[in-house]
Amino acid sequence: MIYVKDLYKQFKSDNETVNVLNGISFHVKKGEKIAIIGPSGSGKSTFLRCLNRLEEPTVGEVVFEGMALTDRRQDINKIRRQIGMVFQHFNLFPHLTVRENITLAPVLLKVKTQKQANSIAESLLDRVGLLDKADVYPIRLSGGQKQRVAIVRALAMDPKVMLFDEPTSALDPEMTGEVLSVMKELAKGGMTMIVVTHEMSFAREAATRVLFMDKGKILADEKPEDMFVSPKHPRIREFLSKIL
Amino acid sequence: MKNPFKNLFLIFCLLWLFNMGGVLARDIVSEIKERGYISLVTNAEFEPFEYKDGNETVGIDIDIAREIAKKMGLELYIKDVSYDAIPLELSSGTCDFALAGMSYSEDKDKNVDFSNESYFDAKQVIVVPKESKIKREEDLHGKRIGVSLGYTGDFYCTEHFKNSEIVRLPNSTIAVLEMLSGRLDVVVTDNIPAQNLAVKHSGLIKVLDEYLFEENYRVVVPEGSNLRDYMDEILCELKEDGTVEKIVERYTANPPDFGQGFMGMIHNSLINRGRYKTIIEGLCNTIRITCGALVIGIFIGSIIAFAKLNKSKTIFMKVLKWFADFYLTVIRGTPMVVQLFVIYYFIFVSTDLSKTIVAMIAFGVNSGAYVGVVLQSGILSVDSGQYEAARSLGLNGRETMLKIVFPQALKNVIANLCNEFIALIKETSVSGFIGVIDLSRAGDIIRTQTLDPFVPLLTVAIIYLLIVALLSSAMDMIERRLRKSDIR
Repeated sequence: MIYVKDLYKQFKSDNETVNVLNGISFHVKKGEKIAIIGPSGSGKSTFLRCLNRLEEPTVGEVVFEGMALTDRRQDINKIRRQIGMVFQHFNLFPHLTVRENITLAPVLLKVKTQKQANSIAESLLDRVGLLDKADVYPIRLSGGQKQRVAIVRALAMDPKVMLFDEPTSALDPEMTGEVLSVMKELAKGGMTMIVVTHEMSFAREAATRVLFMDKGKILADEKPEDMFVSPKHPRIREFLSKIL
Repeated sequence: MKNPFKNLFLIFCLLWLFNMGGVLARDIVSEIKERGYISLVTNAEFEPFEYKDGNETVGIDIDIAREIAKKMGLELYIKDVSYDAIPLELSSGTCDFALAGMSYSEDKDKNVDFSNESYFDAKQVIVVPKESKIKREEDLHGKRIGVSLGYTGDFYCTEHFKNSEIVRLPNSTIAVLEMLSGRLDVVVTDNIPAQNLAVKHSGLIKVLDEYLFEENYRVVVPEGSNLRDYMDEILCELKEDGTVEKIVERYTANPPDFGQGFMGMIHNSLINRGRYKTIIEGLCNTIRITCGALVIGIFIGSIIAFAKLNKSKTIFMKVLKWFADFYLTVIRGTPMVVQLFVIYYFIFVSTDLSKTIVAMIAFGVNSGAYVGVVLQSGILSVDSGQYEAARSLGLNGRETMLKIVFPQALKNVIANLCNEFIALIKETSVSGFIGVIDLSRAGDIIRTQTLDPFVPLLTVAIIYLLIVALLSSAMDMIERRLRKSDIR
């Protein structure tokens, strides 16, 4: 479904060049749930953002369903419709109600009529337990509620894959659970997911593969039981011993 | 009376450069006759020579101009501009001739021609308080003398009374008020306004019999044309058959009625001769100019904000960015009046656009710079996550701007935009400089007729205040609506 080949990313400022991604290759099959873990600054988020070209790779190729994202001739907006994304800081549109947040893109991009979009918004909100919040503005929601709405907003476009960029990092611990359970349910439903996370419980329970990234490279790509029970790489052992 | 020419030395230099090729005598007379009308430029703030009666421009000069047009068998168009702008109107070819109480002096015939014949001899007289010890010209030495800025009285006194304090005021009405409050010893002005002022303030001031000097009002035409000789001929005829004398008598026989007491002043300033109509006309023009300028300003401002924020590096964008910086520097770095002058006299000089439209454009261009900066800061105030979230859903750049970023930016800057709008309304008060009758100028016009500055000024101030108050509450409502998503 997604192929990544030899991905490099450099950030250039006036006096220094930082190599954030140093040659990443991997591929995702339909239905896989991939957790990306690793120390901060290892390039996890940058890598994820390259997958829908919010970040422009310096070198390398990203192919989604046979379409090369890195090819300038591709209509990136059309491809992005099929790739949902959830951000650390939710990024709900504060000037729109919850319902409008969810239905704006499908209706504006003529993927759905307003009526279809509304009914899908309602059923999705019902699934995450927020139907009663459909007509309030985001400012009246808690962090956990905001993130659940953000997930619904991405789902309303019927994406083929969902990218999560540290979806629980900005939440109070007690709100983390409600977001994680929505994500686990989504995983059960068969959605292809790529999740950058610090939540080892999620990586262990819901992921089919776990990627460990350090210094812009993938150090390990294993099943969760292998990664967490008997990590081979000393760097991974060190990391896990610190956080578990 | 007045002399605008020194003030405009710089603009003349520019105009001279523009006109370098065309100083040979041109056959304007045939041109005018062929087109069937002749256009007069004047400054209707000098009763009884030219002033507004309701919406109509009337006065001695206007009637003489009518007689001239009649002799030529042409229709007469009258254009009313600020006094300073008259020479520009002529040298730019917008108008054919001027009668505006203008008199010849040696240094001022460089860019226009004065007729050899004069049609009126005006005395510059000395006005003093009733009990003053000043009896004759010599007594003026060492005194505080009030004059109208740029008028011939100003130049005469500056030259002849070197040890006196010359106080230059906007007009003789205000000069006399200054004298009555004890801040001046004497006022030098034209005989006719002086006589009128003596009637208005009867018992408080008097006009001395000895006058300072006499000046001859002449017809002014563009430089280097055969129009001057032609005007001389006509003036000669009009003087010989007594037409000029009759016109002058008609306007000077009875001094104007000034109304007594506070209510009388109000009645005289607002109701007499339908003067409220001038105020209404001014109000309409102010609103029209402001609204037009607002639309143009928002349009230009959006382009400027777009140019400043766009990250693309194409040649077109680079040029646009450079232009935006240049535009912001020039517009924010120069006075509005100068911009208005340049736009009216250099950019739109050869078009048929009405003055109101030109004013709209000038104020719009000015406002665009400020709106642009406000919008730019508004867009920058929106979190980049908003942009990323919208793009991740598949919205393109334009849709993201329109639906997500712009509405939030607008909410953040609505107060600043409102501020700019209010400033704009009041700023339009300088449009009188190109002769548009806006609210402020309507007040000026009435003031010159009634010799009373207070009622018109207060009226105008109250109207501005009402407009701004109305606007502020409307803006509050809009802001509340935009902020409804902020209520917890």
